[in-house]
Amino acid sequence: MFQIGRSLSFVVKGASLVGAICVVLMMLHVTADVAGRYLFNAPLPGTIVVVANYYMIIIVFLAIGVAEERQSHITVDIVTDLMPPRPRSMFSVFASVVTLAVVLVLMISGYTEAMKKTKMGATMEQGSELFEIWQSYWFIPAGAALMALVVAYRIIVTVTGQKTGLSETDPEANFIND
Amino acid sequence: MTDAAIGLTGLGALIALIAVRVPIGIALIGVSFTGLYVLMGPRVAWGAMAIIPYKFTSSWILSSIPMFLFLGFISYHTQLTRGMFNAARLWMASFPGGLAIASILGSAAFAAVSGSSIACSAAMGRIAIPEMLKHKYHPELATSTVAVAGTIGAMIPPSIILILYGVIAQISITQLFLGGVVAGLITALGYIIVVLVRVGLNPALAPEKDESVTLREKLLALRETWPILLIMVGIFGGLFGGVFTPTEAGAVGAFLACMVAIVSGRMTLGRFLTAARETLMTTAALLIIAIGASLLTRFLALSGAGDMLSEGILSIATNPVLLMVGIVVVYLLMGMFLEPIGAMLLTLPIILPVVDASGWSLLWFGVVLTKLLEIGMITPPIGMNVFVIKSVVGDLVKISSIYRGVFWFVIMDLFVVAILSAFPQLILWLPNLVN
Repeated sequence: MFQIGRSLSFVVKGASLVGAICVVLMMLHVTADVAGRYLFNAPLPGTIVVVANYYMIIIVFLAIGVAEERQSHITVDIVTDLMPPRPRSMFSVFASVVTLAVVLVLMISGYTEAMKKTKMGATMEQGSELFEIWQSYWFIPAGAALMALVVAYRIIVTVTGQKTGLSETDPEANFIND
Repeated sequence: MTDAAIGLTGLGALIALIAVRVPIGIALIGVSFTGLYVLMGPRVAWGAMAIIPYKFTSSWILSSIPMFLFLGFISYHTQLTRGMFNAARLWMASFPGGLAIASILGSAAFAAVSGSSIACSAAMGRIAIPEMLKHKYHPELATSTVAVAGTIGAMIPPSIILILYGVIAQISITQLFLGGVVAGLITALGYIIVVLVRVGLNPALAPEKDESVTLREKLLALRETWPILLIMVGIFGGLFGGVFTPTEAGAVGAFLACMVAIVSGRMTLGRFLTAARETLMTTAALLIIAIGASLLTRFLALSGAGDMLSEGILSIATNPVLLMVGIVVVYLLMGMFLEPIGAMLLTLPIILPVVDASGWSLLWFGVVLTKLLEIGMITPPIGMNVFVIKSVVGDLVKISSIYRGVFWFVIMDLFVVAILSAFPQLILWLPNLVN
């Protein structure tokens, strides 16, 4: 089980790297578009479509799994912190099961939508040009699947009391002590 | 069950799920999906899930959020604001509590490159608190000043809260930012007054003054402020001049920050990647909540529960003062326990129709709401800025004594909220001028 966790953690790190690269690419792409427009009167075609439909979708949906592994989704701890350990861990499993169910719904609906958009070869217009965007729909089911795997793994490990192979360090701590 | 009853049951379930530590965004999505399913059947529920997350996220306006976050994280990790604090420190040296005032001014400057309050406190905390303690400032004053000054970060643009508010309330981000400038500066002024009064009443709080600073030293220190000034001119010139959209301003700002950090030798690959990863994670954590809030808005509207609650609030709070006092009290209470952006996204579907029906300016309300939510960052028991400062100072200062120092500033904050509410023109004149 520990080994599975390590491999899962490895996949999450990959997703995190892809997402981080997208953040940097988005910055460079938009800056180049601005520079092109004002310095050379030649904006990059389709910047808005690419930023909104590719970078944004990848950044948000690939990273929901990353945020799940690092436990950085925003939660309210005030009530559970007041509970004794046993009910607290019971509710923690319950919260994970709810999360798993919701993420699975997101995965299935994302999958059907992606199939539909792929079949029709969805495009989007900017200016007078058409840009293909159907590929970007696949990042929603992919990201949701990754998050579902992380949550499912956490439920199994917690219930069976095994050692987790995920890296669950609080990113806030690194951020502050840097 | 009537439709409205389904809506209210949904809200109850939402609160219960959040209380047992289901992530806020997941709880919002789950309740909205289930609610739509019960109310309108499977086709509508699955249809909303298929369309809204993609449509909401693939937004050009929202794409300014990762860009401004990246700008803030780069500035934080490469300590681009150190020069600004040093200059403020020398210029304020002859004032009582000069270092504390300098840390407020430094935070206001950092606010111009950062959209979040926590980053602002953390950045200034690492620089200003050791300096103040070295000059024998009372730890309570030193820590609380930086904790509260961080809240300016979410008001002076860029501001992540204002961007999300603008997207949901459908008003111009640039206009909101202009309103935020004024509110941020008034807040900074209020904090400076608190420092002057406290040190005036009790000089032992800030015993050491450095009287020996020459004009030459002061002028030389200004040279080190260029990185922030360059980025500020780049962002605000472009944004308020109508040349850049918010996304473009954020991207160009982040690019300039990277260049400045490279030129001044403060950029490392590690810092760069850390900033990119933190941007990624923060964006995902915030937007999943925003997606959920957008689904909830649909569910509440279709069930009629939203209208019912809004009308209920309006029928209880019959005059505007009462309504405003009610809003202030509710948000202060929520701010004590909830993370501000989550609290805002959870409540906007209900509160925005109320504000609209009262004929209030949505722009004014967005800025005041941000101010209220930011007070929640410094009030116990969950004051995120105070926690950040505590982690900076470690065992040197007790958390209770930081909260004790914060108390004085909160009084000033409430006064500022009262002023902003009584005179909406304070916030509105600048956006109107530029419009």
